[in-house]
Amino acid sequence: MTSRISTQKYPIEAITPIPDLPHAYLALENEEDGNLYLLSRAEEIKSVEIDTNNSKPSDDLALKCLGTVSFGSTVVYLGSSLVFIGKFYL
Amino acid sequence: MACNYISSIYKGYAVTNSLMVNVEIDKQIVPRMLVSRFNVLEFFVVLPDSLKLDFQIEIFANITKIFKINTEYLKNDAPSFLFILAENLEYGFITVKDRQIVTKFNDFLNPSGSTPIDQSEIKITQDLPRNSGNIILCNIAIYAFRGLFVLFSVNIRPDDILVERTFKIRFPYEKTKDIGFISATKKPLLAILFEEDYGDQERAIHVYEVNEQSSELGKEPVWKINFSDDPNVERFESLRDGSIMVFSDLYIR
Repeated sequence: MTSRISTQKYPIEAITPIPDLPHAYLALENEEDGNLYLLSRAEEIKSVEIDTNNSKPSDDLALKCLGTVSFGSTVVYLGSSLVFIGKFYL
Repeated sequence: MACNYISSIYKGYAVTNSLMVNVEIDKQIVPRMLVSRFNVLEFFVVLPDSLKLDFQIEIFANITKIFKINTEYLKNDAPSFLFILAENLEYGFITVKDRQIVTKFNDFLNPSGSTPIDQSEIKITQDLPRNSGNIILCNIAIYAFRGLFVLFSVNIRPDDILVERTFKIRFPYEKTKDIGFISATKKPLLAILFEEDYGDQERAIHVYEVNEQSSELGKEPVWKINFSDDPNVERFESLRDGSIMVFSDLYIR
């Protein structure tokens, strides 16, 4: 883990994979002006060794803001360009 | 940075869980979006531009967590097996058939003297299923009590799920933040993100082999990551290639 991305505004509340896009995830912030992000890795890493001296670089991580979602608590990718955002208000 | 406008397409208040599942209706397996609100499960048909409520199921208690069990070696047209945990700590392994819950196994989580954690912080994870003929074998781990993990060893067939063993594993640190099985390994490896109870209270991820015979974690972690430079690491995601993605307050790495 030699690099990091820091363009998010708040802690990530929910993450869900996008089945249509390998190595891509939707990440959601649960705040009034929180964002929904597309988080992706550029390429698959084929082999893995569990070894503290062999930590993976995360240079291939990318984060793209898809828009603002107010107080989203759950996220589901529904297919095509549809995303469901669940909210928890009482 | 260009931003697209996002809006919810159905009133989604009080949603505690949402996920895509397969259910059986009139002998056909169909996809539905499942939303849990209080003690109600709602199943929606996903249309190109909207959601349409198909049916609702009311259960005995408020729902805390729903976890869809990965059954990737089964044929695609099998109904989803779900693990549901209620507020009163009763849990069930279920499927949904003809708009009703079919319970395969249910019981209560027994804390054995441990304190339950805040229900919003409960974590559930599953290792990669292993194919053994027509049966899938896998482990499911739950963190719901301070310093204690509950593990289920389950056998899954296309139409049934059998909980072979339930066992508890004590962990020396009480403040666990997240758990996840590491993928792409032959042996079950459980990664635990925790905060030290003493000293600098640093956070770290330790990965342990789960010894299914002795119901214990390995004596020493096989992999350690310390976050002395970042005290706000809150969660991680196990990726299919065996790596993990770590999320702190303001960083992803």
